[in-house]
Amino acid sequence: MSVGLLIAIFFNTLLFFSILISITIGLSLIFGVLGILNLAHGAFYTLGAYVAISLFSYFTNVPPIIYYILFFIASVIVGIIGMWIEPTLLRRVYKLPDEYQLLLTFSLSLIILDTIRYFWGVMPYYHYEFFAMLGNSEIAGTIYPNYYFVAIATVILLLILLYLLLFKTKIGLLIRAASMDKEMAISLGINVKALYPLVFALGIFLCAMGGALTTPYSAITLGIGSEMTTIAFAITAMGGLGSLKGAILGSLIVGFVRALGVFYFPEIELVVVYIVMFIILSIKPYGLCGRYERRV
Amino acid sequence: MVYVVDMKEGYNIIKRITLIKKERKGILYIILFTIILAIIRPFIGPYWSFIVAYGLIISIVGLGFNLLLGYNGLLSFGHAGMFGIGMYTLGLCTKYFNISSLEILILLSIIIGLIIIIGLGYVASKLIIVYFALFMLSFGQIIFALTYKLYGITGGSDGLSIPILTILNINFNSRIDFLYCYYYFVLLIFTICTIFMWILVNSPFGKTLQAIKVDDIRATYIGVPVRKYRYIAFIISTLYAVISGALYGPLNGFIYPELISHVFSGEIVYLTLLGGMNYFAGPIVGSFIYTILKVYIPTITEYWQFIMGATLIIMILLFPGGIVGWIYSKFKKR
Repeated sequence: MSVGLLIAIFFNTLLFFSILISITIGLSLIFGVLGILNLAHGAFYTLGAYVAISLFSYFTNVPPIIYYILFFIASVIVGIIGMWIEPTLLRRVYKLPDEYQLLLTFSLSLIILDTIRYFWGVMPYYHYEFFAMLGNSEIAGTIYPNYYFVAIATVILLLILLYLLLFKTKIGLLIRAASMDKEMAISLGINVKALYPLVFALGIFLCAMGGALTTPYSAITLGIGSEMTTIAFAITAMGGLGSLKGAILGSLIVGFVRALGVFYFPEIELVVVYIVMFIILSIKPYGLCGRYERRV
Repeated sequence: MVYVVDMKEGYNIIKRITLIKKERKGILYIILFTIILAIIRPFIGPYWSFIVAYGLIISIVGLGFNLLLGYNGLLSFGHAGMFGIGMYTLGLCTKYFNISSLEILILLSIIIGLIIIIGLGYVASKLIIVYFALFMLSFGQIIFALTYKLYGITGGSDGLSIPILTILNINFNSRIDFLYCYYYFVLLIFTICTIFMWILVNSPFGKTLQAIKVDDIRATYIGVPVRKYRYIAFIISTLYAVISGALYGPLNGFIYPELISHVFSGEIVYLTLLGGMNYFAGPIVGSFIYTILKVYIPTITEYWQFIMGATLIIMILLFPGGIVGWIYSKFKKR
């Protein structure tokens, strides 16, 4: 195996890992603050991809920087939808048992997917213009598309921004307080409920960004969210729900295991991921970094 | 700490599955329901026989699912995967081993299902609700992916066709003859499963499960081995799904992976909530209504998932008791 091929495999894994992390970080953030597991995450991922592709086909023949901004616009649109859904639907089930919250987000995902089917139809969508515009570059004899670097860099940029938001601003402090100990935060006078739409929208924004970033290099169909979120759910269970450290650690493990899995058992790479989850959960039932929390 | 399942304690728990005396009346109702269904068979044509048999099969998986959701508070999105294990075990055995006796095939499915369930339940019984839902969801997706991708073995999306099987060594010339006999076979298994489930939920074992649902920490403090109860409940619940899946193949005559995608898991959840998850009859009523809806709604609109999601949200927010719960509350007020 040549060096160039190894580098290509490394960057492919990194790309997969960055898309994955944008989904899992959103899931963990929402679980940490709102205390609900968002089963509709895959639907929002798909919605992000579809909105992005519609914007792309609307703006043709524009410079690359405009295309780049369109990714953000698409994700913000989906984020705003999330911000509207939280107070109207999710707020009604916080006091009910956990299973009702799962059921509600699950039915939400059914509704969103069928709405996408209504507006966009079942035909796959392609959009290679931005991908072709950026061209290729050569690393150690292997041709590698520039777009992949852009996608990876975007996710890294978002992670840095998220870090700055969470650890350097007032609102980030409030979010961390709410996710660490909600009762204590409330008793100290923080209006935790006011944070909910914001955090939900942030999680949805990150996830939609993951969906939007996949549009230039793959066909967009209704099923794209299904496999990605299955892996993302496995990661969040592995890493521990509500823990950002766990989400990153879990994504790293899965990215690595999947790269090996694709190499050795290409037919059943998903099963390999699942076996790792099985082993981790049988040793640590709350995930690697999870802590046991009782519902109040 | 490694947790070893103590066989003797497990046996003591299973011994507690005895019907509480005052609940005996329920078995009479179940037998009455069976007799009615057995009598009406000659009067309804092959089309409705098929639909009733389908409803009975879906009731079995619904009953099993409700043992976890309604009686133990665990939500599983993986019952479609379990259904798939039963379905594909039967399908693959007819294809590769040329077994055509229905009884042997169902027994084989149960045995293979049990082997998988016992391994899976060991981990699943440790997990709390959210982790359990995630775990089962990804399990269901794995079974779906396997049936879809292992093209050489399962036929992938081309599916597998199941020949006409023999029941008690009787050969059938046409599918219709087979269906008429198979209807009674399904009805028999449905009755056995329902009576067993009635005994189960109205036994000291079932009452303990409900106590665990209400507060698992308190149940632990008063000395209930919570995990063992959950383990046994998980085994019985998923075994129902396997039996149901094994029964589905011969009825339809053709199986394919899309039958067991996560949408079907959602449909199992849907029918249980529609009927009423806190009531024994909930999943049975729910699955018959669901079967009829599934026949008629595609003639009106193609957005079946949207309707399913919208009604689920309405049920969760406004009628958490489902149809049976609604009827029950009307009945009580008078």
